[in-house]
Amino acid sequence: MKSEILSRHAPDRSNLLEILHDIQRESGKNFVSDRDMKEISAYIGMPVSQIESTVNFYTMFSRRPRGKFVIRICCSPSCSTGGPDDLLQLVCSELGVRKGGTTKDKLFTVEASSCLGLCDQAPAMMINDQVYGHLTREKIRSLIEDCRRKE
Amino acid sequence: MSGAGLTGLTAQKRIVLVNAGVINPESIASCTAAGGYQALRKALRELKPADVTEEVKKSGLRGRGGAGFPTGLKWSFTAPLDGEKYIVCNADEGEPGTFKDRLIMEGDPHKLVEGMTIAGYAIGAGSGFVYIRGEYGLSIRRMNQAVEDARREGFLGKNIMGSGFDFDICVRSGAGAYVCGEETSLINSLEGGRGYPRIKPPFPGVRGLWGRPTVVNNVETIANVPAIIENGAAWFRSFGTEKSSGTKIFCISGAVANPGSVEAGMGITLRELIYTHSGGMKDGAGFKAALIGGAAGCFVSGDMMDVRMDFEHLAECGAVLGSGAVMVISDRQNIGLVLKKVLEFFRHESCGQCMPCRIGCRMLNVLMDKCLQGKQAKENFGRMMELAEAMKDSSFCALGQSPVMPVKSAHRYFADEIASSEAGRRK
Ligand SMILES: Cc1cc2nc3c(=O)[nH]c(=O)nc-3n(C[C@H](O)[C@H](O)[C@H](O)COP(=O)(O)O)c2cc1C
Ligand code: SF4
Ligand code: FES
Repeated sequence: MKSEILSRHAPDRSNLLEILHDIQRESGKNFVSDRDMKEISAYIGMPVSQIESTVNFYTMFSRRPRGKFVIRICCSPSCSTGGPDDLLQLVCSELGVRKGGTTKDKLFTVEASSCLGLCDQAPAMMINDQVYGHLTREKIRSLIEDCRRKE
Repeated sequence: MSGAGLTGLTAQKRIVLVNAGVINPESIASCTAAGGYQALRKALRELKPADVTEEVKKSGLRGRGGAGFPTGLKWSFTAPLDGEKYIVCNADEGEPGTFKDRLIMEGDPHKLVEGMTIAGYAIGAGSGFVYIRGEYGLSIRRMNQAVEDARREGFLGKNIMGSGFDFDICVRSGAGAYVCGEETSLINSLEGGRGYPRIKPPFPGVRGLWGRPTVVNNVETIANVPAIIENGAAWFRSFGTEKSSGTKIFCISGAVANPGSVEAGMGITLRELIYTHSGGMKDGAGFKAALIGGAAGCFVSGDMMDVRMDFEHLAECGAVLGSGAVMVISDRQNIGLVLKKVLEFFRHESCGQCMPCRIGCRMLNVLMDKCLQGKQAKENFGRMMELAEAMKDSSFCALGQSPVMPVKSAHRYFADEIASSEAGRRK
């Protein structure tokens, strides 16, 4: 599968971010492995160390396996009050994980994010590529249930 | 003062978003039926590249990415340079409270394709890149489709509309880093590296992507170009104020009844944005403050309700227009907690390349926590102001130079609240 992903892009270092996005999305584990990086390195002719450095820089990329569903919660001012009703707290307590953590069943990873550009629908979050706004405790519960059912 | 009178400012005026929500953004036929690509046709058939730049200069269009740099002037630095050149559209939109570029890309992606092609023609670029933040999945899909459709219809590619002009566009996505909105970081990111800012000068206009002259413009800036070419600079100047011509998309969020966006002439007031266009305050709360321009912006209090929102009038009051974000804060909220969220944002997004910002952003958070806990709040807030000032003087890029604005403006209006930091202790 990986060679299929690579062949979608020209072997040019400027395609690195696109390749990384595709690999994460299609690995099912939302991460970039050491082996991935070696293969990318051979394909685009960029040293592994530099690829590693790029991967480490961006919050959307991970070197460690994450859950099947990565939940990114907006923690910027229009969405987040910092109080106990905070979305991040709600989701974490709902799933029983800490910020940045992955559930034991490897289904969910919860991450804090900067403004997602959905401020008019605050509070907002993303689950993988999907965006959700106007969130409440009930809505979050049903979204989590939906993910579980999909599994 | 030229431009519309105050009554005229109250009304919405759509230039950039004229087709958004009206056409089918996934259909190029729907776009051309609404007049899409007419401006490109006019530019290629009737105008020389230098005329296009001149028209944009005369229109007074200023960059909508935050700094308000005159767009025509920026183009005129790059246009005379030889060899391979690029136009880069900055769609990294990461400023908290801002979602206008998303509305353009989701609602009328062809406007951006057309604007970039005209810009490419003006400066003599053969290719363009749209760098879209990785979280904007729908924008990325729609832009990719728009580019593909435009290519098929002959609006992109070789010999566009028989003019002999060749131009193509490539859509790229970011991966979650606010600093990549800074133009030189963006270029490093496009080249596949970490999004560290580069030293300026040389400016991208002279040495940018792969060392070649590169014009970097914001989405909203470029989306204004087709209308300027089609209707002329004088028409464009009939909207907005003397030094800030045209319209602006304002993004209103927070404690208002109907958060959303408004495209209106530059110079509209905060009062109009909140009470005419956003249904007033939510749940009968009172107005306390607004954070204008995003995290890298300023808090303003109620006595600025009637200041005209444009580059020059806000600057006169020590505030900034920035991206046009307006986060409204009610009298039930604590400014200290909002400021804390802003400072957490900076700590999270500092790229760590230079020391004043890397350490400074951490320290600001430590001090802010102390203020919120009521530990020598007055002294600690004073330290925050000194530190933010020092960061402004010594940070490598504008990210580290920015916290001083929210910190100082918060102090100017809300020193007492922060000092007593009642809400912080109550929590
Ligand atoms: C930390 C930082 C983040 C920025 N983010 C953005 C952004 O998301 N979008 C944008 O257009 N400009 C952003 N800018 C401004 C760009 O560096 C640049 O000035 C702008 O894209 C120029 O376009 P304009 O002249 O059309 O405004 C940012 C600047 C800094 C310092
Ligand atoms: S000021 Fe901050 S964001 Fe800019 S280069 Fe320094 S550490 Fe990076
Ligand atoms: S502040 Fe949460 S999406 Fe913008």
